[in-house]
This record gives sequence, C-alpha cells and structure tokens, in this order.
Amino acid sequence: MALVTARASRYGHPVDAPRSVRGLVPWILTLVALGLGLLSLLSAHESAIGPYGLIQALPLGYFASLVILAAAFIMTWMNHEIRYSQFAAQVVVLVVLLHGAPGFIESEPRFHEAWTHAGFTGYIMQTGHVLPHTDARFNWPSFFTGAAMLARAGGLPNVIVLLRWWPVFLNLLYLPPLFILAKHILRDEKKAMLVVWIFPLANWVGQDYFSPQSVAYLLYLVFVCLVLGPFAANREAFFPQWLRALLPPWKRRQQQQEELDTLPEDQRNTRLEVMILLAILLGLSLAMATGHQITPYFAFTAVAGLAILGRTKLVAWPAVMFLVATGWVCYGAQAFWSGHFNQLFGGIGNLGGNVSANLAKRLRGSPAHYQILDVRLFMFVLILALALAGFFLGRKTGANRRAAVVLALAPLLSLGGQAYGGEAGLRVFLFCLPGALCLAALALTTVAGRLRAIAVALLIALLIPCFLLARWGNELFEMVPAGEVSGMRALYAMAPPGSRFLAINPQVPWQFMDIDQHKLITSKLDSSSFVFGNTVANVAARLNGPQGGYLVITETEVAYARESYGLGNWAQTVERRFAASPLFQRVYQNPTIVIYKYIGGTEHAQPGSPNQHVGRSIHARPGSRKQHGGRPIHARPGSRK
Amino acid sequence: MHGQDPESNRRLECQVIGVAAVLLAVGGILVIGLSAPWQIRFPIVAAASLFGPAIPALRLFTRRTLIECLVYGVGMNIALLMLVSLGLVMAGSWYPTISIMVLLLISLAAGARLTMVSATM
Repeated sequence: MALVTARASRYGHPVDAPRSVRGLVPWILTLVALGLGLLSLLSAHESAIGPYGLIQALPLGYFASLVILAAAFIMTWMNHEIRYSQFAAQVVVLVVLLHGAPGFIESEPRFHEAWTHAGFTGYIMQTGHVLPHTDARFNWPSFFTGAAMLARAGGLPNVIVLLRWWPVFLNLLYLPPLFILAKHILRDEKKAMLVVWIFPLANWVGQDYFSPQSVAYLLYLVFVCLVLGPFAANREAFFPQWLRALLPPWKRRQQQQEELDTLPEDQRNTRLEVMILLAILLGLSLAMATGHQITPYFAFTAVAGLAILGRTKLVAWPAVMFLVATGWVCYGAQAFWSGHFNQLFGGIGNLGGNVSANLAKRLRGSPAHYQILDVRLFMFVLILALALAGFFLGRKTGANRRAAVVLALAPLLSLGGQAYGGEAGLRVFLFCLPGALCLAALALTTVAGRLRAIAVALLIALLIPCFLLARWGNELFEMVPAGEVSGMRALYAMAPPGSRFLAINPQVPWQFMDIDQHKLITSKLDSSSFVFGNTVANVAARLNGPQGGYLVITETEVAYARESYGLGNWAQTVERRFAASPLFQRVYQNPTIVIYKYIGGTEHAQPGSPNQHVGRSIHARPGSRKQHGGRPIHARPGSRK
Repeated sequence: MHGQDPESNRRLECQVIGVAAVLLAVGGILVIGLSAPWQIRFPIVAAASLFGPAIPALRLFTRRTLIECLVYGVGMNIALLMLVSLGLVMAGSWYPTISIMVLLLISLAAGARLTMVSATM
C-alpha cells in the first residue's frame, strides 16, 4: 500500500485517489436511487391502489431504489469519517421517496381532514376571524392563523396548493431537531445519524398532513432539544429541589459548581443566553398550547419526567407548561369545553376505556385492513422491543438512557387522560418515537464491525415494506379522488347558504370552501342506523331545515365502510333505499360521488321515486377514478326546490 | 467552512447567516411590495419568515453552534408566526401582510447587525 501511495505521489496523482473514488460510490448510488425512485413513482397509476393501499400501485423499480438508497446509507454510515453532506442528501431522498409517494401518484392532495383545515385557514385568510363553534379544533387556532397570515402575505389564492407536499416538508423539518436531540442523549454522532435515518421509516402514524399537530410535533421536538441541551442537568434522581434552599449558601454554590462541572462545555450558558433560551421555550410552549389540544400535555409529561429524574435544570417548567396549556383551555377554548365538559374530562382516569377506544375499537374491518393493523402493531412492538434491548445493552455507552426512557414512556401517561376520539394511541406512538429510537440505536450499535452493518441492513429491510403497508395501507379511503372534489365544488355551487350537508362517514373532502355557509352532519357507522335501521327517515329528519339539505355518498366513504367496518354490501343497500325514496332526488353524480337533495314530504306521499330516470349508482368501481366529469341533474318540473 | 480555527469558522458562519437573513428579508419585502405572482412570492416570503428574526438574533446574542441556532431559530420563528397572527385575530385587527413586513424588517436589522459584527470579529 505504501508503494502504491509513493507511486501515486511521484506521478502527480492525489495520494488518496482510491479513497476519493470509493467516497463517490455512495453519492452515485444516492443519485441512482433518486432517479429510479422518481421515474417509478411517475409511472405508477392511481387506479392500481387497492385494499392494501399504495403498495399495490408501486412498481418494482421503486423498491429497488429504496434498496439502493439503504445500501448507500450503510456505506456512508459505516465509513470511519462522518460525511454530513452525503448523509443529508440520502435522508432527503429517503423522505421524498417515502413520504412524497402519494404526491407523485394521486391526482389530488390526500386526506380529507387536510382539506377541512385548508378551508378553515382560507376563511381566516379572508376574514381575520375564527369559528370556535364550528369544530373543536378551531378552539386552538394559532396554527391556522399562522398559516393564514403567511399564505395571505405570500399571495396564495388558497392553501390547498400546500397540501400535496406538506408531509414531505414537515418530515424534513423534523430531522434536524431529532438529530440534535439524539446527539444530546446518545453523545455519539454516528448513533444520532442512525436515529435520523430510521425515523422516516418508523413514522407510519400519518400526523404530518396539513394540520396543527404536524407543526406542534416540530415545536415539541425543538422544545425537548432545548430541555435536554442548554438546560440539561446531571443530578441524582428525585433530589428535592426545595431542600436545596435549606442548605447554607456556600454548600449550595458548591453543589451547583459540581453539577456545572459534569456538563459538557456546550451546555453551559451565560445569563443573557439563559434569558434568550427561556424566552424561546416560553414562545414554543405558548404556540403549542394555543395550537393543539394534546401536544402541550405530552411536552408537560416529558419535561416533568426529566425534571423528576434530574435530567434538566428546568424544575419549575412543568408548572409553567401546565398553566399555559390549561390556561388556554379555560380562556381560549371556552366555546368548546362549555358544551363538551364530559367529552373533555370524562376520560380522565378511565385507562381501560381509553385503551379500548384507542386499540380494541380500531381493530376491525376487512381481512386486508386487519393485516395492515397487524403490521402497525408489529412495528410498534418491534421498536419498543429494540428500545428495551437498547436500555439494557447500552449500559456502558455513556448515553443518557434515563432521558431516553422518560421520552419513550412519558407519552403513555396520556392514555390515562383522554381517548381523544380514539386517536390518542397513534399520538402516543409518535411521541414515543424519539426516545424509543435512541434506545433502539443503542441496541443496534452494541454489536461491532460487519455484524453492525448487517443488523442495521436487516432492520431497514424489515421496516421498508412494513412502513409502506402501515403508512399507506388505508390509501383506498384516505386518498381524495379528483371526481369527489369536482362533485363537492358542484354541491357548494348549487346549495343555498344555510343548507345542511350530511355524509355517512367522515371520509369526505368538504369544508374546503364556504366553511361558514353550511351546517355539516357526519354520521358514525357504528352508532347510527345506516346499516340496519330506517336509514331514509333518519337522514330526512336530520336534513329537514329551512334551507333544505343534501346527502353526499362518495367512493371513499363506501371504501371506508367496507375496509374499516367490514360492511361489504352496505353501499348497495343504502343507496338503493335513497334511489327508491320519494323524499330524495339525485342532483349530481359522477363515477366517484352521488349527491341527493332532500325534497321533503313523507315517504309514502308520492307514487314514484324522482330518481327512477337517473342511471347508475356508486359502488367503488375499480379503475373509475380518472373519469370524474360529473354533471348536475336538474330537478324535474314540479318537484320541490 | 471546516479546516480553519474555530473562531474564523464562527465568523464565516455569522457572515453567511447575516447575509442570508438580509437577502431573504429584502427579497421578501420586494416581492410583497411588487405584488409578484404567488408562485414566486410565497416561497420567498415563507423562506424569509422561517429564517426570520430568530436565527440571526440567536447567532448574535448566544454562543450556540450553527445547527442549534438553525433548529431553535426555526422553532422560534414558527412560534412567532403563530402567536403574532393569533394576537392579530384576537385583537380584531387582521393586517397579515403588514405584520409579516414588520417581522421581515426586524430580520433585516438583525441580519445587518450580525454581518457588521462578524466583520469586526
């Protein structure tokens, strides 16, 4: 080797030429993965999405691109030098390929809730007012007001243009604070890089759409970075801080100096710096408290746990955090809790009921849906098992395991507080991830040499298909077909202000415009009589108002009922009843949406159905998603407007 | 940026952050003032608001590392956008464009100050 180097120098080549060429290989692989992945995504078809979700529409080239990218990452990560630029490029490509896949394939931005949030933001953009009585979420409006302010100043026509790439953008923003957090906990940059790489693969929860929680999670990560970075402590657990005040001053100073000496250089602060960082913490706490219902409580439990276990100097901050969050609930969210006191506080202490709402009641549906839920549970268990192994195996690594355990376990406490519409379980997993992945990284890096690379490669090979199933498995009813959007636009154009809209479940892209003009009614399939009861009469009763009402049946509603509730023939049965009823008239249809207008009267008042002349109904036909040229159907002469 | 002594690294980082803050703030003010189409205007205004006052200010007043300034700064800027806009809505005076312009002016001032300070480091 010395001979080669000497020859290279003699002939004027750079002495480390072979190393430079070797260093280029991960770059080349990353670019190949990006090119192949994008080409594959652009060649995929929306119509191929099936009961297992997006994975059925993904070409083989896409999977090959992820394998190539994983190989490039392992080469970079196993190198003895730390190559940040290479690593950053690989992580960006990973996030674009994993979290941007629907953005390339689907014709409209995905997820109905995101459309609702866009409508609310648009309302604030135009009026400068909020609608606290319209929806519980709007009582925590700072995310919506912030987005509205930025969109208005940026000249956006509406925020729907942001929906498609929002998850990619947010997932990219999560990674720098996660890296700092992992570095603070693990005290090792290579291990922190591993945490950052695994996070996009493990984050199947899907809370990164255009929503308050997507930004609140980012603020939470920055918050925890500050708590464990500049405000880190290395105290004995359970040391009562108030006892310190009883000590003589010289003893207190000595103790403080001892604590300071155990901290790394970069975690010591000047007085001005402390004030600035505390101001940032306060800003983050206020933004979380006014922006999202449960994130501030996750932050509260995390900082309280860290303070109790002596991992942060911010022993009073849990009280500040709690007061800020609860203060906003009392003052800013009054419109919500004054009418829903039991909903807000009824779950406190009801651990069994909350777990049941979050776990047992979600485990149902078609066989494919069951399998997707199994994959989600498997990922949950796998990461927690790795975290547990990391806790024991990482004893001698010098990592701040106690802090990681607090971050991984503190979110579980929220299950004792609120069921949160059955979604608290998802949030718990999301908030567990930073701590759990730090411990998992400890487990993976206890083995040395090539075994370490093999362990990481095996985990990535396992996580890629699991992620694609768990994250995009519900795509059949979480996507928004273009026909449904055009149908809803037609509905908003024809419906008079004050009229009522009713959907049989929440999978409808509505409220993205004229959010204050109509009253919306959503039914839950498990609590209504849609399936077995007198459906038509019930719907008629709920739509009976001075301005009339409309019933919306969409392809994704039908898919949701079939996949999530196992109601196979439900769509046909229900729609046949409406088509036959004299109380309803079909006023719009395209292959993905049918809209009925409530025209009043009684079920036996008219001899025939006004829908007899109208053709087919909607039954989630495969391959029908591209044909969305709908048409309004004009009311027959003599029928009531 | 690497391979030099820590102080010159820090000076260079300060200059880059200061110049970036100034350029983004000036760009944001210009595209708003000229009523540029949203395809140009929104990315510049959003980038300027995310980079905003907090990143140059953190670099100016603290000794945190570059990545820490970026992370805490982005977090603070987002929080600032949320809280300022909430304040506007609650006060019943919805002037979003003017508020963003004020934030950009503060960012411009912080960036200019950081650039000047880093030149004399």
